[in-house]
Amino acid sequence: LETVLKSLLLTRTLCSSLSLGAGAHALELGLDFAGDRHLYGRSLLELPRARAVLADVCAEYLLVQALSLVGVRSIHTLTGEMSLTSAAIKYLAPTRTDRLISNVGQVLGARALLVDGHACGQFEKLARDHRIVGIFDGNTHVNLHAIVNELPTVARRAGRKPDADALTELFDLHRPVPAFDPQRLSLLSRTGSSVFAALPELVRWLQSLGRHRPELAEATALAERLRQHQDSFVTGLAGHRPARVVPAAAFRAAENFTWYLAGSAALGLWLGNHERHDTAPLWREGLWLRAVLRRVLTALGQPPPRSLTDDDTVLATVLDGHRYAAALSLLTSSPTQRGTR
Amino acid sequence: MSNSNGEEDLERLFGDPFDDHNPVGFRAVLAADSARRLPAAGERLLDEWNCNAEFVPVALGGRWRDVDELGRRLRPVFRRDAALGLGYGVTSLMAAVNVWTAGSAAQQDWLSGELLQRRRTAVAFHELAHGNDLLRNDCTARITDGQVIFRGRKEVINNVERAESVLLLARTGEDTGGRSQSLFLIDKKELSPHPGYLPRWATTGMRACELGGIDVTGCQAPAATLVGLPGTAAETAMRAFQITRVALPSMALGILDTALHLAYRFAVARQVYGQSVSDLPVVRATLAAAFVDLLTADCLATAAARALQLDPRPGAGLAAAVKYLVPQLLDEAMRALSLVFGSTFYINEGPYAVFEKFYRDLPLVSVGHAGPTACLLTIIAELPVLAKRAWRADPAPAALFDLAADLPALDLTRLALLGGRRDLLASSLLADIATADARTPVRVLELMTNMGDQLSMLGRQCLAAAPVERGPAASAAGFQAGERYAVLLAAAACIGFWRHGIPLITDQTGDDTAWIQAALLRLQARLGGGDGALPELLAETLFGQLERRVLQRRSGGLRPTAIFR
Repeated sequence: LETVLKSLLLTRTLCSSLSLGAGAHALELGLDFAGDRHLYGRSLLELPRARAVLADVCAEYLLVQALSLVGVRSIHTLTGEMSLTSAAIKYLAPTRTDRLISNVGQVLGARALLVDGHACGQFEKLARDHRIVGIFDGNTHVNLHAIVNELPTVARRAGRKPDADALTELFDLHRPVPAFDPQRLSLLSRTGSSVFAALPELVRWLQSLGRHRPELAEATALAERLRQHQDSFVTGLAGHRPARVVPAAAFRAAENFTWYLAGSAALGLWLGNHERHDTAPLWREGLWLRAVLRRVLTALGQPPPRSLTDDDTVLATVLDGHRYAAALSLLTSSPTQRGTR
Repeated sequence: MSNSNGEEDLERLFGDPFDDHNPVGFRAVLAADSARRLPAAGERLLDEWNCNAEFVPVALGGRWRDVDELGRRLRPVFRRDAALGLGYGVTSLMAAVNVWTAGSAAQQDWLSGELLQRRRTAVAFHELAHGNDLLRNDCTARITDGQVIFRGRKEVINNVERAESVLLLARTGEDTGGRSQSLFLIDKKELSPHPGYLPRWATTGMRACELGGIDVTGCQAPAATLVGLPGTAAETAMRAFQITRVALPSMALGILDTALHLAYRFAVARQVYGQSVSDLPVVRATLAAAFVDLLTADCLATAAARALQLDPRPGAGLAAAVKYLVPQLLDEAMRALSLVFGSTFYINEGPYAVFEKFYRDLPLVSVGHAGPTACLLTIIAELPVLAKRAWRADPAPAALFDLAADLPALDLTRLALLGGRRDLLASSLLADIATADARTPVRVLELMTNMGDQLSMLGRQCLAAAPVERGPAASAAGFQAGERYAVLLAAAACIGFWRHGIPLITDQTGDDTAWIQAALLRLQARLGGGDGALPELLAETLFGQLERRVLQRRSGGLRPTAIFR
């Protein structure tokens, strides 16, 4: 039984690639359609409402991607914490991707529901297929339940100053990760979540970077807001006692934990790699980071105002790419130019 | 309405859907869905009940008196099978309302005769390339010498092949202006040569419905098929939509009603880790929240239907708000309930398999007959006028929230294109806040006051907005104003019914504040305030109320009528 449960820690994490693939496909279909579709005398891409939906879809995709990259690297570097990391990913990645797909469906309108509709029904099939990702290998309920049990440790470890070297190793995508050591997998994390606990330190790094770079002011402000909310979240966790009958509020706390984790992962990923990508529009001045942090704060019930400039830049970047989803990849340094498409 | 118990009649005829031997039960519904064929026994039952009479006004020999009733009386069908509801005849209603609104006496007589003889009419408006942007449709009609000649096709049209007649929207003008399209009510026997039919569209949901297409290129019909004056299609449709965009969502509430019963039964029966799923507080909270969302949606649909009857000049925004928000509430509630089922959701057999079908059917209710964006466009066009003229405290007419009160007969000819002078629901919200007294629980009063403040803020935003915010090029914030308006109308409706006292919610448990608090909390979350999660005490009270209704086999809606017996 233990072997099965431990291997779930890996498969649940890797499930995020199923979501990312489906998300990328939906994104392609949605943007293609929006460019060709004309309503009320305009292309859908010229209508602010459709643009807002599509910009949110891009932000959602970036968020799942950032969390997934950090999660997969954690298998090697924070192996002992995978019980938490894998549950958070298995909860958040499919849920957000379902949402992403349903928002693309909103853009497609009636076609989204036709089996032989847009692009020969590709959309309808991918939406149907992806829905099952959230269910197998541990569903929403199971994953949140797993997190609930570990929240006391998360709270206890949140105040500790994280190991800076370990974080650099985790977040820097150009650093090779150490070999995976299955012996270190554990069904309960003794150290809580280092990525979650790193948020205050990461915010400090961003702040010190921002002192010489005024263009990072907004990203810094968003990150700082997230840190403040996380602070009160941790204080709230102190009152959380493990109980045989888990109250509904504990599930909400588990959900919120996954959002803080995603925000922290995104911030760490940007800090760890931005220097190499400073010419790429997505990375410059923290564009993708801002998009993700806004998404996280919105999900936590603290929606910051929308930035039309950011929406425009994200959409322009994506539409400029040869493959739309590839243009949103956090792994490539410069987007491939649109040409042969 | 005092003289009517059509909803209960039809409930009795359909009987217990959980009974495997019931020919119109869930087992038959699922079989028909797999076969992509409407359930024959279900269609027969509706024929015997003469369902079409519900769509024909009393003055023309039918049973239709009242929009509120119309929605409710069809709910038993949607509690079993939305595809049967749509496939049997809701689209006949959608076509017919245009004729009742703008057709000649002869056309009205003819169509009522057709419907009462259990024939169908299809509503052929839609062309895939133009979506809800009806004014840009390509299908044309040329009127010459007492004849009209058509060119073009209509796509994804329910029943278009098997219906005996069709209401066709076709272009009679060159431009894309509001007077470029006309409506034609055509007995298909009069169409020569015969039209061509396109292959049936396959959909994920409503699989039993015959969604087809028609090609009328070269077909001729008498010019007398024209409904109203040439170029008035947009106007007529905008009037008729005010009825159907309220009535259809009201019927669709039956879907969530059943889903709640299914989810409760599943949660009680299913054991995990040595206890019932229903023992888990998070599951109880999910069910409680979905129950409240059903009540909220029912309050909005019911209040809007009654408002149409009391003042048929509200403008198109009210109905659009119903068609926007109700499907959204249903959709989110169904999504939340689907998690209760876990992996059982994916299993196509057993007593809960029908949930998965309902889940698939629902999006077609949402997109069909104006998707969310089209509805918001209708709303935002009216907001500045409403904000300027109509949003002031004014108590609602007594009959609006009194479910036992008789309503004046519906006058379809008085439906206004542009409203703006009165907004019964918004005014009632403001009046309710102004007249709240010491008997109003503090928590409810706080939530009510917040809704009033939100309406004032919305008013200021609408008055300051540039003209571009009233059309398709509106900003995301402009569209959001439309969403917020719909949420505030729902709050007004909930408060109105709560102050009037909903019969069985109060007398079963004595606690009539739980649901209103929960409803307003969840609506407030839609306006950006909080996460809408119910505090444990509220969730437990509401779960208890839902439990009693399910065990007594009563609806989870505003009126806890007997169902599934």
